Amino acid sequence: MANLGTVFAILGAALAAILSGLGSARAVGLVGEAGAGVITEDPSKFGKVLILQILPGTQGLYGFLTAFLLLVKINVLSGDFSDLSIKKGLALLAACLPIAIVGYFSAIAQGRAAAAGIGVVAKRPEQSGKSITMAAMVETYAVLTLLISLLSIVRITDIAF
Amino acid sequence: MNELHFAYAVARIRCNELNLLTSADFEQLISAPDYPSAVAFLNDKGWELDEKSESNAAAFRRKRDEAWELIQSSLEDVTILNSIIVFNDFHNLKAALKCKFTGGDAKKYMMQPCVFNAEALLDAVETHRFDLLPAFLQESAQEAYDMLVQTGNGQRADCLLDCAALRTAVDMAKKSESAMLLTLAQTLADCADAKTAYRCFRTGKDEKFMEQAVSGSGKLDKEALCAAARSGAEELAQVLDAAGYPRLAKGILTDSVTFEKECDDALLAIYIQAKHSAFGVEPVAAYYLACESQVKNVRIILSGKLNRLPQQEIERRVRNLYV
Repeated sequence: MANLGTVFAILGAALAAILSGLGSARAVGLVGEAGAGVITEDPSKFGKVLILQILPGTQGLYGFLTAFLLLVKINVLSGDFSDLSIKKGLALLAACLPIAIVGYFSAIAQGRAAAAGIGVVAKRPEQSGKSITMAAMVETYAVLTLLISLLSIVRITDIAF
Repeated sequence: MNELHFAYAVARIRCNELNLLTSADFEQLISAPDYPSAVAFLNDKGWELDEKSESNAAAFRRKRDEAWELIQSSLEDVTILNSIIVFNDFHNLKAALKCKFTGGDAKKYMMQPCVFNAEALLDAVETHRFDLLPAFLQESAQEAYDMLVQTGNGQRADCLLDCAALRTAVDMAKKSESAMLLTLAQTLADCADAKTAYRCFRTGKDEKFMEQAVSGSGKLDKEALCAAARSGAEELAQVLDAAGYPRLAKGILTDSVTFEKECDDALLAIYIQAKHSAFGVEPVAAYYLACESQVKNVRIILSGKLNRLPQQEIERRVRNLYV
């Protein structure tokens, strides 16, 4: 029971990394499948396809960043498993949820938008910039939740309760 | 099959849609001064037609085969598209049965793609082993065979198999769980039934024949359609209008050319919705149907050029385009 706060905090870090990573992996895979279809027919479009494929991968990165920051802040990476109160542990778990949940769903949504954009690259390559912009719009919400998660983690670890 | 596989297939289809003839191409083709010029134009687009041939059946078949090969290489399991190719199985069955009685070479009439291997179908019919056929063909094959033996009436056997094909297509579309494929199969059945009823009306066929020739597997009320066909074109138009086909109703009152075109355009109106879908089997099915429609349009135009039809007459016959 003494380390339960730390367990909750690590659970938060794990959720942020796992859910965001899972969403990005599925989305990048989806766009990759669609991209492979275009490359099969026209390999010269690889560059445009690659940009669209990279887009939904950022959520996984955000999840990793959140988890890394949290693990640094609670000194797990340095091997110091000092006690965290259960309240603080739960607060840190809650702080990780925005990027974990929104990261997962926004990655899937962005993957779908990017895969649809692959169709634009296939038929109207000169318009691919527009499809990239449309897919990138989804990123906004992942970035907003990343900010919330990061700010919360920083503040919670700094204050004592 | 999951969404990922369709994403790959749809992307490949989108690339290949660029190779379909556009409305500008068709305008140019229609305005070609004569048949050789039209053939030359198509050959510039890679159609490999023979200027001296009047049918160019092999080239048209090659175009269809190319489209199907693309689909086969893009989808892991093509059985989801059975509802749109099963008509070829019934065509093959018709050819095999007729050739069995007339002694003709059925191989040259076989059509691809089909659900059941055409050669195996031919063997089954030749050896009278209908049990070797898939379930959806067995009963119809036996009934058509018995009809040919007992009456020698090829037209009735054709009607029986046509109805069975439409029913099978609707059943297969239901199994595909694609709303578009189901609507397409039902509309196709309705159009086929409407065409049959119209022809029965024009040729004065009796009630018994109509009962056998109209499948009733779509959304149209079979009894109402048959009753209307006995009365006249206006009554047929009313039935079609009431069933939600106002353009078909208008077409049937104009002439047979317009009616046939409206039937094809009604189908296009369904599968053209897949043009903007990024996922699902629908864009793949739509591409195959668009290729078939393209071949039909090219045939209409070339046939018009061969017969020196005026440009307006050809335009009136050309179907709407997918691209």
